[in-house]
Amino acid sequence: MNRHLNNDELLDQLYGIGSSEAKSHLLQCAVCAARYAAFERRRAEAATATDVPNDFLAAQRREVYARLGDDPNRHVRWAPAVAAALLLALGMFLQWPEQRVSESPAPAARAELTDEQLFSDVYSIEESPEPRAAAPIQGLFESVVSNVAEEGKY
Amino acid sequence: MGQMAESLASARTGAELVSEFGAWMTAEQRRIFALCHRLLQDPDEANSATQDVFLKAYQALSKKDSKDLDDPSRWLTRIAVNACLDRLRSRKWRFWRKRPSGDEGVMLDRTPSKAPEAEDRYFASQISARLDAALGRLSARQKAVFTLRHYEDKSLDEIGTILGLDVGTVKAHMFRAVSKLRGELRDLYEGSR
Repeated sequence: MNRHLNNDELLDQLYGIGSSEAKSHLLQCAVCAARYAAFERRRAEAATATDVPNDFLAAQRREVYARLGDDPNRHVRWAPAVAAALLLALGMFLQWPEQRVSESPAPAARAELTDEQLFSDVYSIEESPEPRAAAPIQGLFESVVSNVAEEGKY
Repeated sequence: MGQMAESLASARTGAELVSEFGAWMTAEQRRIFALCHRLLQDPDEANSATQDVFLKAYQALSKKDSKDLDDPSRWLTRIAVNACLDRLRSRKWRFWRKRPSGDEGVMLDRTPSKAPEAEDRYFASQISARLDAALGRLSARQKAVFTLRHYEDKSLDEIGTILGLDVGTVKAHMFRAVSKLRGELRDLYEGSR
């Protein structure tokens, strides 16, 4: 390379994207090397040109220490208990309708009364000499028999 | 590896680690906050990210099976860059993030450079502020690559190690970043002597 590097070429060198010709030129040309050194100084100044207030940094450290005190796994630790509680609640919810049917007092009482009545009716039917439904027919036979007896008398 | 880094890497009891960690955090905190601030361009987010970085670092160091660190400073830089890239990738964060506030300058006031001429210092600080603002035009990766080179003075090889990229990819990101920032960079360097 027979000419000096322009600013863009120096800039590319500074950021590691320059050509190999420009790089070798920098090694041979004192003028370009001096300009490149000035670029490097300016970049170094830019890199150190920030200042953050000490009280801000101290407050930030306090925050970090406070968060270090927190157990980062505390939520994870609660997770199994919460999951178990949710499963339990789900199980109870799913079981609840059946329990409601079997434990509900009113239908059960109705069922007991009905059974009692049924047993009572069956018992009374079995104990009676004839079914109540046959009573009129029985009465008819009884009246016929009594008429025949009376006719026989005369 | 510096003396502090060596003692940090060798610290294994709880109290020892906390003590060494505190000293290390104090030494690295300003750099990490500045790095996060440049990448995120939001002081509140940078503050939060910096805290996350040190928390992650402490948690990693306090693990019993953690390996000795070859270069704690680079390791911390990697944690910081990844934390910031995660935040930059987050659409939610982008949506909710605040615009840089007017008092941002209070937090990151530029100290005078070591250059002897006051005019030069003022000029350089103005250009640097323009450059910081122009970083917003870069993608997250381009921003990370450029910031690590420009402000952290990392070589392209080191940047590749930190970001987990090969040098060719780092160069490609750098090329695009410099192309987008060339105007600001020209202004920054043309006044240099």
